[in-house]
Amino acid sequence: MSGLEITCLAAFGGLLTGLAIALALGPVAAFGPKWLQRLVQAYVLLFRSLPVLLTLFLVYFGVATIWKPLSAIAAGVVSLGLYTGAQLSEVFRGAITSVPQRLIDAGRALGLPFSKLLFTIIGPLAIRRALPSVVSMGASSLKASTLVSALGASELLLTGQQVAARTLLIAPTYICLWAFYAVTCLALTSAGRALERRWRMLG
Amino acid sequence: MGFSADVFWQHRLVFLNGAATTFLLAALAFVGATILGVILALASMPERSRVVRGLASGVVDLLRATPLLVLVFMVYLVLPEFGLPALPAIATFVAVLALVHGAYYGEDLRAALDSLPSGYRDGAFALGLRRWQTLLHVELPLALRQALPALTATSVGLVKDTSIASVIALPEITYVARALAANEFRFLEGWLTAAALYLISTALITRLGLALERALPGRA
Repeated sequence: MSGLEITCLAAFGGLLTGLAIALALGPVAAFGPKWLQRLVQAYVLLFRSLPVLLTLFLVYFGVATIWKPLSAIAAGVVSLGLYTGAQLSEVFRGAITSVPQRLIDAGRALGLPFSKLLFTIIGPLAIRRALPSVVSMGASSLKASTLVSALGASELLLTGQQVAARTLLIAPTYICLWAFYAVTCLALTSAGRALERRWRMLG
Repeated sequence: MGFSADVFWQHRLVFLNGAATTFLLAALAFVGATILGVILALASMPERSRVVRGLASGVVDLLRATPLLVLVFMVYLVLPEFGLPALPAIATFVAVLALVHGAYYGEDLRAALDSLPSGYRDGAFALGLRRWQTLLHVELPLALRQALPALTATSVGLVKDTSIASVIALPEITYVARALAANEFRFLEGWLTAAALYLISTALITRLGLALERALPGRA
């Protein structure tokens, strides 16, 4: 695989894993029983307080110690997923609790079961509020994917380092790398901001 | 392989050294980032010229869109190519950490300054305060109070990002934990020590932020 492919795999794979975690945990944090809410809070607190690099070492060395060695890329996807999952769970919980109570009451008055309430009333409104953050989170995930290079996965940054060391074209290589990350991240954060503006009044 | 208190105790000095290095990196970068943040926030006030504001917001956006590690290599390897002196690893890392988080602080402060009602400034002028006095005694303290939640979150990010120094072999706590896992196959002792350090720092910074929010004047 090329460096760009591994970077995309780690960044997008991590983001999607995190999204799946958050889609599962967001509603639990908002409506679940107290003890489950506490559990989700503990997960969110832990993985938001730990540096991604330390999560990466936990997954890489920890899984190798208790089970079998994991590839650096797999460890990267899992760790970025745990990190973005913690960030986005909090975003989703906030988005869900921001849905006006009267809409939920209205749904109840119509006799909707909880699953219908969640998928037809709360869900669509909460997604609108949460999606801009998901897009911006893509930028964080892409930036954090550079850390996978610390485990020796030849993603874009490590590949760039090797190219720079072999060709001695140090300045051009790193400036290209910088331009790639900066342009992609700026595009993602602007897209997130544009979505936020666009959906503000609809939320 | 479980946690061994013996292994932990044997390496206590290494851990202490790592923790001290982490603290040193964070403290130095915090000072630099605060100075840069205030400068960037002042440079993006509405009364500045278009060019200055554009420059400030360009710097902020660019730095926030850059992975820290890429910027470390830029400063460490690319600047010497252009004839600038090569900085030692620790200075490079502190400078980059201060640059990136200075941009975040700048954005936090700018947003807070923007959100202040103009009545405060008008009131200060009516009392005969000069522009810099208004800024120093009225606007900045109020903006600081307003920006505190964001500044706290950014500061937590700064401490977490000191872990990236391990990639360029600065012996802070993450590096120590990793070296222990790689060289002596003792994973849990180092990792738990490092995790505890980050969790405690995060909790302390959050507490400090909340205490400052209560202590500083301004609306809730």
